Amino acid sequence: MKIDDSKIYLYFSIAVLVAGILFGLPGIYSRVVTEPAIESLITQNADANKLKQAYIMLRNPHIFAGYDRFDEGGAGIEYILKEFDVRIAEQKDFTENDKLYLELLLQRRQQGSDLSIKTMIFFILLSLLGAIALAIETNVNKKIE
Amino acid sequence: MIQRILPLLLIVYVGCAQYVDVGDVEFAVKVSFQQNMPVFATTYTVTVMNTSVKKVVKNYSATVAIVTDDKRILKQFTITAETLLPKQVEQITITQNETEESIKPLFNELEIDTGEVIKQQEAALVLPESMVKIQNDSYKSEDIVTYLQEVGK
Repeated sequence: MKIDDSKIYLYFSIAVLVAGILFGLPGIYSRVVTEPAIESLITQNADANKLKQAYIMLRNPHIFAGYDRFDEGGAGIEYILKEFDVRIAEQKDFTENDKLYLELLLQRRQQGSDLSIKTMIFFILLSLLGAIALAIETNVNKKIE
Repeated sequence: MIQRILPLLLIVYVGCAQYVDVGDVEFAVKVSFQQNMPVFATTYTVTVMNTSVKKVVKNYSATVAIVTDDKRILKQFTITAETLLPKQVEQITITQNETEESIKPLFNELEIDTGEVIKQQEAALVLPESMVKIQNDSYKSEDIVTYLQEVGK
């Protein structure tokens, strides 16, 4: 007698798909809405106010691009944050030279978005694998019947 | 079954989000002690650090106590810091004029010879962590983005 595993495959596929979508949402939202908005603020003719707004937006990272944990490559980011936080607190202006640092912060955010989207793709592939297994299981069950 | 899985997934997701979002405020406090001669004017330097990367600490106040191994308080003073931005370090200096008698218990605890200090005219050291106790600390914390938006207006 063969055990019917189709329900397990079905639930696995759905659960992994839902997880994948949840993991991907912050990255997709950032890629589609936030990052273009920040890029438009850091343009060629950006004034001090625009650069400040861009920094405040960058200071609010999404879940995959947080500033809490600094790897070796991102260690310098901490100093940028410290410097720019103080600058806003002391009401000092941003200058053209700061664009480079803002772009670095943006790059870090983009890397976080990549991670979010790639995690989503991985989970969707897992879900697809579950769906294939479900199709095979259903087929086998039909043949047995 | 799906009705059971979906809330579970939501809990896992929120749990993960919470884990990454944890950035509670902590403080590293160091007390260094300097004995300036000829008067026994002792300078205590307390280093307060906001270790959080996304919280601003406001109106921080605490009582710093220098204690012995058996938890007896040798010295006690209050420190305050108005605003500490993320990762910001602030040094608070407290100078106290003390008599030789009042400083002696601290010297004894640190195994420092008073006569030697008088000869050297100065002694400076960082007190071991076990001798520093932070009491009654209070502060307000605010999200850095909210703070920057308020200040940057």
